[in-house]
Amino acid sequence: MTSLREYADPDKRDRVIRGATGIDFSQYEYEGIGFDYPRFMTQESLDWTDVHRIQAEGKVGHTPLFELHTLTRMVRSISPAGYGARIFLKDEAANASGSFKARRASLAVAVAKERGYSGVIAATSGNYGAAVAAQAAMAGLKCIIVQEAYDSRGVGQPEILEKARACEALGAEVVQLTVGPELFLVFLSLLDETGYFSASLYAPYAVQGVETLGQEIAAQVLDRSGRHPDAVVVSHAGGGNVTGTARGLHAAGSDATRVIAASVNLRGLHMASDSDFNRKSFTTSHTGFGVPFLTNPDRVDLPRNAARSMRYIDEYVTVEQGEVMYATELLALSEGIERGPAGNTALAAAIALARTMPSDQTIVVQETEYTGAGKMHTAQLAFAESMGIEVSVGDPRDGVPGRSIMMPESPELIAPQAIDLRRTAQRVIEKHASEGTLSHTDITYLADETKTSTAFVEETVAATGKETT
Amino acid sequence: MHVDAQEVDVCPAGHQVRIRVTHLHAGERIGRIPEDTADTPLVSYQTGWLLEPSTPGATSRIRTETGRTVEGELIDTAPEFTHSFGLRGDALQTVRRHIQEWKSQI
Repeated sequence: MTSLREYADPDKRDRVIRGATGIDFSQYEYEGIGFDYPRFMTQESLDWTDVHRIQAEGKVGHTPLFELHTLTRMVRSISPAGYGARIFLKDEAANASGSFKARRASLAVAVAKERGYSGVIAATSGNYGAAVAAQAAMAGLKCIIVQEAYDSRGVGQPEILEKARACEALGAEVVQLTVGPELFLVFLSLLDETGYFSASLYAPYAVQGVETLGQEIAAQVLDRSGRHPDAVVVSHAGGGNVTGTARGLHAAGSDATRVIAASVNLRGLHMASDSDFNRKSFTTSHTGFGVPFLTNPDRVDLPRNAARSMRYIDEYVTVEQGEVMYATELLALSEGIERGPAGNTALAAAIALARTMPSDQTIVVQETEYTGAGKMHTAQLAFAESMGIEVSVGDPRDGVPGRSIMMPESPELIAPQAIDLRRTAQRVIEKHASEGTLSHTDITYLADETKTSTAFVEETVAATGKETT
Repeated sequence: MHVDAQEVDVCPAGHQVRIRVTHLHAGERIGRIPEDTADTPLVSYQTGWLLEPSTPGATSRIRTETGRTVEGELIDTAPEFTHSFGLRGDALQTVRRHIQEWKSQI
């Protein structure tokens, strides 16, 4: 039996991560709770000339932006007169390995190669695995993907099993674990054993890789409509997609664009529960990742996370599993393209959001992902039914995650629910205030971190009865 | 997961197999773990090539794709991909009919 317990020691963990990333995180730390995020992002990022060259060589980026003409007309038919924004779709499935994750993997693998590592390791049950595997294959590096894949009975979701197959097809070794957060310890032990590079999703360059997506959207929408996009809807899990896209939009001058995060509602299901593991029909882009990562981004495989979505999002909505399954059918039948369900999370939200926007405005669905055996709504729904979950048609909000999935009886029933970001910001501030006295530096950091103001942070702290220094 | 329960003869070295590695036994889990998970072992499944002849159920060593040596219980002598496209599904067919009707009205 491998000894995992030694990797639970923080000193050991920090040593392994430092060796596997080459990043000295301590140099960015402030006194108190914060760290120098802007400098972390600048100093640990790549030169933009290199970014564009690496992504071009890695068969990444410059994906098509499709205007969804038929879907837009359908949405207008159920909107008030003069409403129904033009809907655009960024077809990220066109990247090597079939998702936007290729943008992140391309830079992470390039850094590994440049720093002389012989292989890369990533911990992911998502599309990032195939993305790292594909880029490693091109770079001539070895690759190990560590997946949370099975429950204690050895039953795995089709979506995750397909991702494992794709990783293997692209030359990677896949270590498939049962449920539990000790996956991180297995990941550390593999880094320690092999001396490979940690291709973390959450390093500055891995987020920088997504900035090109935001830049491309801004340029493509400007070209097609003569204006910056009015809204961009982004699937939200660990926050890197939102962070990178928003940074790219800002860099391209789309400052007034609403950045709307969207996650699939899985409330009530525990992400580390063996019995809940196979009762969800989405394994990413869901609230089980999205909500905790929003409020506590540093819960990742690095001491500090470059993906800090709360700094960037203007709105955050949740959609039901049944709504996303419906959106997947709708995309196929209206626009003639089949894409994977998890990548259609933002699409489901956009269908409802477009109805509230004037018809001369634009809304961009910021990603798609590849589809195929396992990674289809038909596979995920059949699996759900085999787990005893009821699949039916009705009001999606009558569905209970883990028990039932309701696909909308009519498109008007697609109704994303907004998360109160102001209240969420207050909770983040209150938590920090409860853990110790906050300094002026802490307050400025929290204002940036929660996309509020120092006055808002001070008011929130004062309301808790705590003092600041 | 496909587990080969058949009584097979000795599987030769170099054969592609799947093994199960127990990292933590039930009750020995680390950190804040829900009860239902804490009552199960942390196990990994890994695929590779047998280093020595072995039989299903026996402790076996494999060489993995990246060249690591891993030891675990031999559980499958013919690893296969089993995931499918799923079912057409009655509820999905209803949804498809609704969408086609909606589309025909624009």
